[in-house]
Amino acid sequence: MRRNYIFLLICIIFFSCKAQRHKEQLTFWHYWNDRNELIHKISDEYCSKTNIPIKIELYSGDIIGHKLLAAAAADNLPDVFSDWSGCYGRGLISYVKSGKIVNLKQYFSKEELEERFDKDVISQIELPEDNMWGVPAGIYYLPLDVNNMLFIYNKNLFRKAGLNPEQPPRDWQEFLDVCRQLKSSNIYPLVLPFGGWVLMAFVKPYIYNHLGINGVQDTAAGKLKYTDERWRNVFMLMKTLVDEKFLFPGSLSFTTPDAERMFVAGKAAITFDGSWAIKVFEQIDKSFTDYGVFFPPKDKNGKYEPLIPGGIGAAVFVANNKNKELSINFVKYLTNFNNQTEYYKFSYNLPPNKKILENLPGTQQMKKFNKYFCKIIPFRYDIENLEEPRVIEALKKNLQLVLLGEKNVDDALIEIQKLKDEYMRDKK
Amino acid sequence: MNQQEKNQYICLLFVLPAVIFFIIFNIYPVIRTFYLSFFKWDGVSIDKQFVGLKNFYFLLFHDKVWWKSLLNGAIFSFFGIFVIDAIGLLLAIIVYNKKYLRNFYTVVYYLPCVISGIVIGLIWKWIFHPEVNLINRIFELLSISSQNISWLDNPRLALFAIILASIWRGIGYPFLIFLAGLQNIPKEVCEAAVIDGVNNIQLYTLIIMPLLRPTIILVSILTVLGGFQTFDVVVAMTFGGPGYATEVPTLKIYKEALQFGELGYACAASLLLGLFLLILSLIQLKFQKTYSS
Repeated sequence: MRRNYIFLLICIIFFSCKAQRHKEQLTFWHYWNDRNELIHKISDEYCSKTNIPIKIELYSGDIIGHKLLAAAAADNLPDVFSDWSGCYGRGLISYVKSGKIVNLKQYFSKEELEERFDKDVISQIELPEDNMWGVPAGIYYLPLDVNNMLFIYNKNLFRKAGLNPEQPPRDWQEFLDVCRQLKSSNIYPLVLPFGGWVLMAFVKPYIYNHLGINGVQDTAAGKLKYTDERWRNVFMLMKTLVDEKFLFPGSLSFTTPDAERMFVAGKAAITFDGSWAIKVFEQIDKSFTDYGVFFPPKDKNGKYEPLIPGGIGAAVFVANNKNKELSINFVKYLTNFNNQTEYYKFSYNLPPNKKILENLPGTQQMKKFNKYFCKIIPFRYDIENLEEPRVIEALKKNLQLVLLGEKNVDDALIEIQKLKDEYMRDKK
Repeated sequence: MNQQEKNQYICLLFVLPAVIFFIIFNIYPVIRTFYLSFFKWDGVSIDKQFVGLKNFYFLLFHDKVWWKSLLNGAIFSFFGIFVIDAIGLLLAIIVYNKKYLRNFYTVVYYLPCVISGIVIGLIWKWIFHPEVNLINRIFELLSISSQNISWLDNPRLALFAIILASIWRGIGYPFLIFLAGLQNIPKEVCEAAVIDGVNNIQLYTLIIMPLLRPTIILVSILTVLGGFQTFDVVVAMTFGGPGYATEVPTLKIYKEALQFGELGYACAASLLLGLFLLILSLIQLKFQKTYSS
């Protein structure tokens, strides 16, 4: 009897190992918290059609970047992963340089790409011949959605404060006036997740508003100092928000989900979030629909038009991988017209194929986000791609300290410049 | 080969798997870290740029954040020794003297130690959340303060908020070691002292504490090491912010490696931290020897 049990056990172990060995499986890492369910659904459909299971792992927010870097260093990347860095950020370029990811040019004809994606999207994902990184030209991203960040405001709270909810502020001065009026009605004007990456995203429109693309490039090249008056103006704009006590308490340690929850709960009237927030708000409270969207109002003291953070949420494929073809086929399926439509209907994220919007225009808020996609910062001029990561961190931290009232603007800018000078010396 | 030599080889063979694992998972990473600390490398690129001692030089003489993180690590260790260990010892003495439910209390006090640091961080983040305001309400009830304090975005308070969470999490470990130490003290010694007429305070200060000294030194070494290696609670609660207020050495290393793509620099920082902790532990051990003799 005992011998039979042992034999049975050995059989089970043997066959289970054998079955495992012959099974094809793809691994897909992504950061789309709000779309995890949908990705699973489409993957399951794909599996039922092709018999190839997809192992989906969700790593939210900043974590996926760290996870990928650790996996890349250990040569243990998944078959496919999702990336968003405003398109071709420093991180992805390292992968391109080291040949760890696939150039998709050979897998997609020009016609096929144009059928799937809009021209302006293709121009964002196409790395040109003479690119600033000096890496081989090509396409390394397969877009699933496009997104950008704007101000979102609670119309009901605007009404309560006696403001016209259909007329959001058009310039910085009007914006401050709106905040003042909200505050005088005992409504917190702003809830902003300044504990995370949004702090930098929030300040970017005003960096471009005051410095323009050339000013940003000159700063990164060391030709323009952080102590310049224009940088000071940007910091002063941010400081005004704190000096006038517009921020909801805790904003400086909030992450995006914290701020989203507070905003939906009506604790503050305005937040700064991405197009994905529409779905997030719905997930928090289905009945919360009375909100509007507006473009970061320009500060008239700045010479240039503000540009907004935005980019493309896309799939990236790992090279030197036996599952390469399979994973490309899977993402081709994920991005076909029908699935993009499904993806848009479910997630409300703007599709990279605008034809979908012709049939499914979506809500007013989505239309606004879609309208301003043309105003996103081009990846090659994004300060986070041009500047040293440590200087960016110093910029963020010092801005945080200014907002906390722990440092004055001039000292903060001097400290950032000191670090920049060290890098410039190092480069020489 | 005689029988004795044969036996020695057989013994070595048995030890070999453990040695191999030790080399792979302990020795090799240290050697690799040492090697990488002389390079500028992002962890992904094929080419590494040799920079010699530059990473160490920048870290020691230019990186203010590194020194700030070490200072925060020292504050964690200080509070670890003087608060966590002290409370742990006190609880161990109370539980040691309990006749009933000793196992129950041991489990209760040790329980937070087995919960993941990230989970603890998130629980405490919620406790300090401006909307929940649990801590402020407790302070109000105890008439300590009636102000609505925003803990985690105040650079002066954020570190103490994390220390509070660490105290709750950390007490169990010293408590358990102290309890084991107390249980190892021969009962006859205490009984003899009582017969000789010592009171309870004298029993603890003159008999038990001196006998517990090796345990205290061991716990203090572990606390200092733990204080400098605090990571998960900080990640969950503040991620080093606001500003650099809660930056700790391990988080700094993590950011350098995975956020800034400076793996070589992170390796140099890891080595320096390791070396610093080694020196600190040696000093404590030396102190123990001197004191014991």
